[in-house]
Amino acid sequence: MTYIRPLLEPGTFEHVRALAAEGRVLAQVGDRVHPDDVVAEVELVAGAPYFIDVRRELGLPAWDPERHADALLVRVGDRIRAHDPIARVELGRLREVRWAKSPVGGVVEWVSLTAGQLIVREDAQSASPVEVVDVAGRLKLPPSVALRLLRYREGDDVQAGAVLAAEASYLSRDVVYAPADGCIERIDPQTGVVYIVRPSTLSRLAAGYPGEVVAAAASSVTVRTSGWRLWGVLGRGPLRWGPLRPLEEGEPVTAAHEGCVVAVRGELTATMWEAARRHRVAAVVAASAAPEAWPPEPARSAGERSPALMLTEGAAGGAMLDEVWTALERSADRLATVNPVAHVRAGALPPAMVVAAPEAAPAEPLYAVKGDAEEGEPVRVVAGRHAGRRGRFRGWTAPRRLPSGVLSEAARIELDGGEAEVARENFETLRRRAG
Amino acid sequence: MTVDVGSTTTKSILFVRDGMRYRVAGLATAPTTVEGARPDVMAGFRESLRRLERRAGRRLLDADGGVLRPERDGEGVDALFVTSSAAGGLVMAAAGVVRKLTAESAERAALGSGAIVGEILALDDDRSHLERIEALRRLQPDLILIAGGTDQANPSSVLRIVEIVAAARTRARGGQSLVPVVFAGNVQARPMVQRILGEIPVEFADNIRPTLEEERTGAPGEVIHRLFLEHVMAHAPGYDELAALAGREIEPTPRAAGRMVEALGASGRNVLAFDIGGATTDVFSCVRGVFHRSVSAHAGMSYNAVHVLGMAGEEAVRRWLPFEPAPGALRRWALNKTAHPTTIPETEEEIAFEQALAREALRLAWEQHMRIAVTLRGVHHERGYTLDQSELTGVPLLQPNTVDVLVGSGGVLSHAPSPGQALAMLLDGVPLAGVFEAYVDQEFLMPHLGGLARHDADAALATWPAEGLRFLGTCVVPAGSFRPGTPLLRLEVPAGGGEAAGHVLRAGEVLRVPLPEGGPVRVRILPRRGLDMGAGPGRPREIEARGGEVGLVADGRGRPVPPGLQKPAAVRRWLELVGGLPGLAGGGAGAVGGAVGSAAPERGGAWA
Repeated sequence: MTYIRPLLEPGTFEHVRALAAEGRVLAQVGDRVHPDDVVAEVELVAGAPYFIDVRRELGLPAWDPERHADALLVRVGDRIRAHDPIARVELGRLREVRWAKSPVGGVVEWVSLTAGQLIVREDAQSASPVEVVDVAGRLKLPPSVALRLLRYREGDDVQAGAVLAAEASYLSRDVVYAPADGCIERIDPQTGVVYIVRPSTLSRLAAGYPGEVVAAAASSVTVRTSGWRLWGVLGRGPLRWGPLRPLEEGEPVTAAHEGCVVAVRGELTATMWEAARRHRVAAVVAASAAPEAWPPEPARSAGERSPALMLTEGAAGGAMLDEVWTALERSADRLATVNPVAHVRAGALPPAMVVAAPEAAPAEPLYAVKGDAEEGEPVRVVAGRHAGRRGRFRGWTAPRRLPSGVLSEAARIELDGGEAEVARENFETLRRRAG
Repeated sequence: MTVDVGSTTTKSILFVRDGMRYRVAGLATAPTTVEGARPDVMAGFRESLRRLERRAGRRLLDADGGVLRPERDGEGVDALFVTSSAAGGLVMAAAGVVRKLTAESAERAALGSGAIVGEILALDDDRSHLERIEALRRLQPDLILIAGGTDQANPSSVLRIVEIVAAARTRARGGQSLVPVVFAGNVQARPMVQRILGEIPVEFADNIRPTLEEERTGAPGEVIHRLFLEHVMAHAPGYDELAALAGREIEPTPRAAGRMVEALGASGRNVLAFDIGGATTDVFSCVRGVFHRSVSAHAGMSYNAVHVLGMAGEEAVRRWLPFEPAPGALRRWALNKTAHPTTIPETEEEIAFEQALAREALRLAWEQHMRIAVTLRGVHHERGYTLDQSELTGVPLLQPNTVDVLVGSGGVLSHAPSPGQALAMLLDGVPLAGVFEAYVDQEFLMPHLGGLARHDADAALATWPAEGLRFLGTCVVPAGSFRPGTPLLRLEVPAGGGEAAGHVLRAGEVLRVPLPEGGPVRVRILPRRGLDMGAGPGRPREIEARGGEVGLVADGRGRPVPPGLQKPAAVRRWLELVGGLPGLAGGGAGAVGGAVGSAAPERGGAWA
């Protein structure tokens, strides 16, 4: 048994695209979609977490979890509507019933039996876009007096928790806080009420991949793409797509490549990478990258649309395999989607690109096999002094000391310039079959 | 037979009982198969066993691919122990009431059980409840360990942490099942914990902190082990079959490895061990009988090579190179190593890069371990003249000069071409001082022997030095910074005929002193006034020293090594001295500035 991983494979590939929250799915099973097509959307008023101190509201004693548990009517995960009762208690000899009600609709996120408190995560879709704050009523002052204490004017932006108005007396200080982020749309001088409009955002989910919708659920769609898939070894950036543009040798990245997936057969230089960023290229797929072209660890400044990047060979130089480059050239101008996300631990999920070009797909898959080779099989060297070169396997040698001093079995590899010895761990056999 | 399923390699070892210890009768490796075209851990497992069959000349697998048990007529084995760190290992979240008290105890307990701790929750961690809930959901741990409250305390506080965990309703990685909880806090809180958690599976273990003065990090070990088998292993490809084959004799690799460090520490010596892996670096210590483990989740030599370079900084790595690299060469190598994690260094430049990176990975892991291995916080002490400084609360247990035995393992150390290279990495990366012995676990036997130690700790301990532990040498390292050229100490080493040869160690220098072959010799250390080499400031000390493969090494560079000694020429001189220069198999013996002879090679045998 040897280590085998696919490099290039024809086929149909399914990708699940999901909204962060439940929303409207716009695509239907059977629809043909372009990667730019919006397949689902959700309008979100930033759902604020509402903290409700039931114990204080109902006058329950502190540190009495059993009593709090008896009083609370909701559990974590319960979905409730605004003004639904959340706690009930009978007090005194007359067993007076008191209720606590939720000020908002949403999901109960947290319940503290010990403190008698809970948090309701306001439902983003049903959250009211307008917050009505009765400043005069809360300060127990006439509107004209209360509004004189107001610290904001119409048109001002406020943040949740900011002090809208405060009145300090000799013994106490009454404060009215803004319940949510937003803009003060109106201040009613007759009633002393402030209206805060909360910003809402429409979150749209693009198909990301070209193809056919084969499943649609409450918050996700599955897109099936026919064509071929190319696996990489390193990646950086978010999911990106666009028409595939393989670059000729020496061809620069220009404004004509805006929104495209650019393929570079050899090494991505720092100049090319800067040009790709400047011209808003969607993604770059290259054999390798110069160290200065590889994006640094922290993400670049927010808002900048840095291209996604995927490498197919590594960082040691060398060009893409002929099979890969042929498939890329034959697929020029077809839609490609690059997912450069790699789970680094144990390499469980390498980056990959899917190209919607079934007619340009290779006839057979291509695998990289580690630790096994047969006479005459093609190989690629991935580390050491011959890294990035191709050749043919000629045989094994007895274990010996490499120039590094490490003891290893080596392979005799026929390279362009003659035969060379390469450590067993430092080359991959290119094979058409997995078994 | 023991099998360790690592993230890249599955290694199987056949042990044969030989008197009071075991003897390695065969060892084989095969690639781990939890990823790739057909992920199934059993494929790599069986291939490793097939190779072991060929090496040991003994049939181990039956016709169905199972392991032949028990041994009969020279076929099969009596027992099978399996350890695993593949598929990401065991990831846990630890929670407690106070970050520096019970949450820290929970973290230590989880680490001691072989987990990677991805999140630590506490009521005083300056986050809102929602942030804590979201942190748990984001992590998707395999298990959640909750500690908090002494057994006599009011359970209210720990119940609030339980409520947060209940609210998170964390789902397992790659599945919809709820992540189980291990509660090892106030025993009085158990009924309420059960009620609050509702349908979330919960297991109870003894309280980790039954009193503030006591910490039992081993209390939840068995429960965590069982849940690891039932909930974590069951989700990995092929692990259900492996678990069925191995029964209960399967556990996280670091847990088994740590058992060996504990066993060695139980002999009365303070032990520090490092395992530099591809993705992570584990550090184990057993100081005055107290065991600690830490894991640096991003300090790995292959999958995380670029990450280590980023965390340490290129300049910090470059300073350990014996040459000036071409611009961008180091970064290019690290990127390629991350892209092709199973490759090995082929050129002198590549191995120099790898070993320089290893020094910084060791340093980062050491710094993290120092934060974990501390005395209990919150313990009440009466202050008085006799108070031992180490008894103060929250003080690092592991001082640089408290270690007696330093063990390194992991490919970069174990497969270093010369013992001098391994010793140089350990001395440069781990800023220990005082007098200590340095070893390398050549075949990473720690988890294998840890498995055997579950049944016979003495035999496993006796097997280690005889079967795979290379004794590098005895190190004498004065702590502090010194003016270059200042005499630091004089070593008096028996030179035959009852005479003693004296060697003066000066600041900025390194001595490699030959020791006679055979058993230990008595070496006198005469430090300068004010310098403490373990017997008090300025007081002479006698040690029983053995030379090992490198020799007696006295390192007068100071700790930390000053920048002036981290330039290519100085690094080259230092590496030449210990035989650690890449491409130099044996290395020169003597001192920086004057040769004093060669050390006699010595291999394992027994504990000094």
